[in-house]
Amino acid sequence: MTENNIPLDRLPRPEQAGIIEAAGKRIVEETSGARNLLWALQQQFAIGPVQVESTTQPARQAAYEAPDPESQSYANMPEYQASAAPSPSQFYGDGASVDTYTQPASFIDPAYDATHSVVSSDAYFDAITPSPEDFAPKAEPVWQQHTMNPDAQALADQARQNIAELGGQNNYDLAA
Amino acid sequence: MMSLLANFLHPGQAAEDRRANMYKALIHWEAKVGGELFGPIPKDTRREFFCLDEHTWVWHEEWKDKKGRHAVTTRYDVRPNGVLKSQGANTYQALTRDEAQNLYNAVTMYYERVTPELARLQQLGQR
Repeated sequence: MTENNIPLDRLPRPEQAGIIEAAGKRIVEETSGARNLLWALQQQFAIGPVQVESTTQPARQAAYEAPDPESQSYANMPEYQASAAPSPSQFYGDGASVDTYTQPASFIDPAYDATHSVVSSDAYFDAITPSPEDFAPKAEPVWQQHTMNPDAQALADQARQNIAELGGQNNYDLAA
Repeated sequence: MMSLLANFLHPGQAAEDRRANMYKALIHWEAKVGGELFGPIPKDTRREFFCLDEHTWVWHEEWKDKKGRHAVTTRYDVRPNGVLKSQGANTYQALTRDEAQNLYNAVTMYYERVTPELARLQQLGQR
């Protein structure tokens, strides 16, 4: 069961500050991420929000609600306990016959053979999320750390003056 | 003791580690919330769905059957020429229209669900 509210008050002070900082960063990323993806899908497929049909409404509602507190977990709910984990063919091949709105299996191309990709656990997560090095302060680029060499500055000023003196002359207009 | 020593030798590193850990912990939480958007998760299945960055969404699923454990990580990359899906070894596929609509709905629900909680955290920090 997922904690839908992060218990910030129970965390030590440094962790609280870290979570708050990360939350700010994530809001920016997710707002941009959602906007970029939704815009791209709208452009590519001319799709938008759909009115969910009444038959799918309970599923949508369920998706928003927390699991039954008495059962503590979706896995303990009888109607789901009975069903075994789907085989890849069931998983990917039959998406159209079920409620496609609530079945992420329908995201997947039915032709895709899932069995070739057997990895595990958090390795995937660690591989794609930023490492501590990504949070290190970035060194200022060398060119920003120094003012321009006085000689170079004088040359640049002279060049700017020469260009200004040329005014509107077009020296490359061969027809003139 | 070791962490104290590490702090002494590399004081900046500890801060970076902590920031990275907090950031990852938050994404982990989001991934679990995202995984529950699609309804009950079958037994022996792990399902995660989350926004990785401004241009990437990830859906990860692990499950067990008679052949053993399986895992699929699907990335949806927003490119200038459209959204592409990648699974496994650097192969990209186009999305079908149905898949695109499902993804659209899922991202909308995810945003409605996750962002308010992140905003609540930020507000707590401003008190």
